[in-house]
Amino acid sequence: MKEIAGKTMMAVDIGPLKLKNPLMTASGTFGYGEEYAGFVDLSRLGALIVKGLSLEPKAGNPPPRIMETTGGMLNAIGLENVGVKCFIREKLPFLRDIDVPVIANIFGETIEEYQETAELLGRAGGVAGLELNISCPNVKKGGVAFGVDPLLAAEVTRKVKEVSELPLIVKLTPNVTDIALIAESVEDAGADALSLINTITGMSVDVERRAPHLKNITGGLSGPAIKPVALRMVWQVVKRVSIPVIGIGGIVTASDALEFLIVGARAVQIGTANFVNPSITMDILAGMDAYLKRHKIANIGDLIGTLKVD
Amino acid sequence: MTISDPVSVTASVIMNSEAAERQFLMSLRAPACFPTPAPGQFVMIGIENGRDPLLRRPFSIHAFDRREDCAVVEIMYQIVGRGTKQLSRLLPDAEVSVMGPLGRGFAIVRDRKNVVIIAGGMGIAPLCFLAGHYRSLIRPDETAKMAMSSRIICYIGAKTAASLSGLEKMEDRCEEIKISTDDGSLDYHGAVVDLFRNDLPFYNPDDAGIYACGPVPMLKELSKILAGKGILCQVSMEERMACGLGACLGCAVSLRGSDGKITYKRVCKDGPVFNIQDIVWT
Repeated sequence: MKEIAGKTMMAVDIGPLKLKNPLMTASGTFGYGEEYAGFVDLSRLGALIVKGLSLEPKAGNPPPRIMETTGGMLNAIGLENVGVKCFIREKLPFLRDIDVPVIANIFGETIEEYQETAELLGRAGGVAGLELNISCPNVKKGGVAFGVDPLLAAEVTRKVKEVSELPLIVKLTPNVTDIALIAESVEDAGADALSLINTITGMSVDVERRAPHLKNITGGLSGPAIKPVALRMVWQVVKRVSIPVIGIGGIVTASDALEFLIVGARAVQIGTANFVNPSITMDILAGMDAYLKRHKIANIGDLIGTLKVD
Repeated sequence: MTISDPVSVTASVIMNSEAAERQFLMSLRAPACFPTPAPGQFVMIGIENGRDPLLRRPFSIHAFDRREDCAVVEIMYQIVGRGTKQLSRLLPDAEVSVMGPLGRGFAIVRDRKNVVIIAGGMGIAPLCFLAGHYRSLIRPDETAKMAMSSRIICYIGAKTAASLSGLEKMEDRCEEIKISTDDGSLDYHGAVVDLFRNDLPFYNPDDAGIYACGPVPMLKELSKILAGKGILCQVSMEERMACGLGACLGCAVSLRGSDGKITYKRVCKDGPVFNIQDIVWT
């Protein structure tokens, strides 16, 4: 098979968002971008999603917060963040100067907090979109409480849509019985796109001490261990909604990313893999480009949702 | 000392040998672009192409040498889990990925008459590098402007005489070495902090600087005996890490701020070196 020469078309649209390629960094795994600037040409990313922001700063959970498990890691950071005002004042100016769409992941304990955070980011300038976190398993209030109830998920989506013109991605939790049901509900409420999955709740025990490895007892599992689950959920959701779906979960290689696109995701997010290798996004991008050339696919859009099932 | 931007490079194993029971000394040949680290800084090491374990592991820099065509990074480690076990099996010429130098190292204080080093177990790894740095600052000619006229005193604690490693280098660098073993198989029988406690009254808080690294119970005990003494003590902390770059917020350590409130700091970015009296021990 002869490879195609020159540039492949990697651009994808996520609702109103135009991305130069389908590779995004997952919230919570890429800080505020600046931490990785020495390792990645940030302007080559499809989009950069920053650590989840709340209206007020949050201290996070007491340590220990992380534990490696087979093929993955558990985390219970507890959404530690500088708060949206500090983000706009101290972190956003650096990101504004980089030619990359910046997507702010936001969460709150109440719908009003979600709204206020979204409004502040809308006014700030330099934020291309919002990702609504209704799926963090590591905080007691808010977050996942919205994500496991189709009606609450729809309501927070609708209310944020009311106050913000920014493209809205809603990030879904896998810790539900029927993720597609939540997806449909959020789509009906006006979400521009969906991203899934957030981490799967898990735990790990130190048998010597007979105690949990994490102070929070449970944490969110991420990394290669969750990829098959994530892929299955993305496949289920794309069949039930018509808005774009962004695949997340255990992507480490170009092949992993391509699996998500083939089952129907329009874009993917790279999370835990950024910890394994800080410049892994660039390796994945190069690998995807090589695949398209090898398969003579001129436009990545022609690959999306092409899963062959007998 | 300015902190250089870290790099992520492929390095090859020069030597990986067992220095004491389950303790290894590994030296790595990194490309010449590897920045010169400050004592107390660390590296994240990943076994190339490895997916299990997934994450890189943090190691204090034990020694560093800049050669004509490469940089030699040395670490000292103990087998504690899967990551270090795999690392211990690497043979010369094996490739690993190395990211560093990372974190904020020890602050060098030039006006201290007594530089006191307290090492427990593997805690000797960064402190040996520090002792070497201080040694290079102390010149025999005390009239030289920048030269320090300090003494370096080192307290080393180990489980047993057989588990004591890294002693030779320390002996070259320190005026005095005092050793404790948990089982009494060498010198002082007991904990290294108890050994130090006996000498504490002889140190003047104004001209002594303490540097410590070791297991948490040891550091906690040290913190107790130094409380209210007004003596400078920097401590290098350890915590599980994922990214090493300050992004994942996984390696939190609890500190008490000047307002009395507890805040979380990142061992990888805000540390690993902290003022011992700021740490809230759990």
